[in-house]
Amino acid sequence: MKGQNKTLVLNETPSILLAPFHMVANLYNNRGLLRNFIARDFKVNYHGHVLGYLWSLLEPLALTLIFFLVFVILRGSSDTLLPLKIMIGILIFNSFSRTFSNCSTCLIQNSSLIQQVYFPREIFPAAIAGFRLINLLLSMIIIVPYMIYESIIPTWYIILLPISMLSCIILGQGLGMIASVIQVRIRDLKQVIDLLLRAGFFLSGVFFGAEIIPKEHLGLYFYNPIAVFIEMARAGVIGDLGVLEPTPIIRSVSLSLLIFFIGAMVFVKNERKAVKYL
Amino acid sequence: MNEDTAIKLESVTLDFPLNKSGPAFIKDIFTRRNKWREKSSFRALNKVSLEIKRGEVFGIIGPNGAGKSTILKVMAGIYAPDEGTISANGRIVLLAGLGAGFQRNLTGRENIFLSSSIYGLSSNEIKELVESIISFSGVREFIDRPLRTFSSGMKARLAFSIASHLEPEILLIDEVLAVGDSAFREKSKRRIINMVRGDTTVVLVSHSEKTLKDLCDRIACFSNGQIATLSEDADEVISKYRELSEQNKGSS
Repeated sequence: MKGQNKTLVLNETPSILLAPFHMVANLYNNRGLLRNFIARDFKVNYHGHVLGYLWSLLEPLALTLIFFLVFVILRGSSDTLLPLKIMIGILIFNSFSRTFSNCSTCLIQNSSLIQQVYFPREIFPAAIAGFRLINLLLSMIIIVPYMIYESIIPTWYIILLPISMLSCIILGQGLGMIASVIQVRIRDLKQVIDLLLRAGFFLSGVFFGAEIIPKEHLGLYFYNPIAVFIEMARAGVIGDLGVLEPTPIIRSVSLSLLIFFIGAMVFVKNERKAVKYL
Repeated sequence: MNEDTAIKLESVTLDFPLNKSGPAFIKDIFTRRNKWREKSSFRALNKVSLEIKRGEVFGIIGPNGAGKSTILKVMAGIYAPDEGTISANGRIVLLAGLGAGFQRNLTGRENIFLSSSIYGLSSNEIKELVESIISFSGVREFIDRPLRTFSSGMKARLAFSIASHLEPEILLIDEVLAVGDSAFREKSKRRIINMVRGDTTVVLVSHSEKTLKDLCDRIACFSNGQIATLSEDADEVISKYRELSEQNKGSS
């Protein structure tokens, strides 16, 4: 720790427009700690479990089976790609919802640590998002056997898949950062968020493709960014846009970026005040 | 800022919100919207100005609720002052409650890496120190087992061992860290005294008059978020502290 003799002014707050860049710089300067936090999340989540990391594959697989059976029994669907679509839907939606809800409680969950040591608190939501993103990448492996079975060869559309994955994580992180500073004062927000996410699960096309939505409602349906991200990921894997058009894609990705920036501003500007309520 | 100054506080004021969260907060929004801002805070620090020199051992004493721990947390950056400025020269570590970031399901070794990086050490620095941390703690045979299998004394020893290896330029200590069995306590006490005697700048909050008198170059007595007395003469400050404590007893 020697040789750091520069003067530190402890209570500087960046201007609101610079807040997101301030946050990124802080994360970069503390990347070692960020990496340790992400590693901790992996160890804590999978250590001591007999199947370890396999659980993150088994859970979406089991859910896919259930939804597929229910869907076939109810509708008698003839879509052979439906299991693949459900798998992708579940993975994308779960990553979004866990990032959002975990980020929204990050200050409360870490209150004792926050009161003991100072380091940039942006690390908490960033570590959660990083963990969820890596987890999503690793879980995506479950679609590979199905792709081989259906002999789907990836086309250049596949770039929609990483864009969709990244967008759903940063949307979750952005919303979570806004919620986290509110939640220290209004703890009921957690219940509200859980309820909204549960409703969102049924409205975002997790277990059905967008093609079953009537044409006249499709425009409205695609105002839901998560529904768009799920369709994007499916289109990327299957190599066919289907009913999806470029406009909702651009709109949803820009919306995610915007919310991420707003989230960063709200978080950086208010976490110092929020900490006093812990 | 002057090169000889380690920490400089200029009229630092800190307000704490008073119990305004949950239903009371919602009710306030609807009922007394205008009053809600004024009467809902408690002034923990009131225009505190203080300059701590490099290498100095600075003691803080005072009755409960005088703002002793709060000022350490402000110095450490945990709370940002509402008014005033604070600047510091060099790396700061606050020791208040040990074992920051300990995870019961990780092994002792993994916890050394996690906790030290939370305190601001880089992974290279940790790799160099890890052997020394393990041998000082004296829990080598358990180090690769999960922390939940440690006794509380062993956990405390590991935590203290990490804390004593941080070697910051400015060390903030809240209360005396006496942990473990008597042999370890003796060892850790010597370690603290070595840190305090070395060239580290130390700010020490304690209730023990003897500790402060023995170690500190200057002592400040806090009362109601302000510095009541600040002097190099320990006896003067301690008599003021006794006077304030008597008053507190009388009023309650």
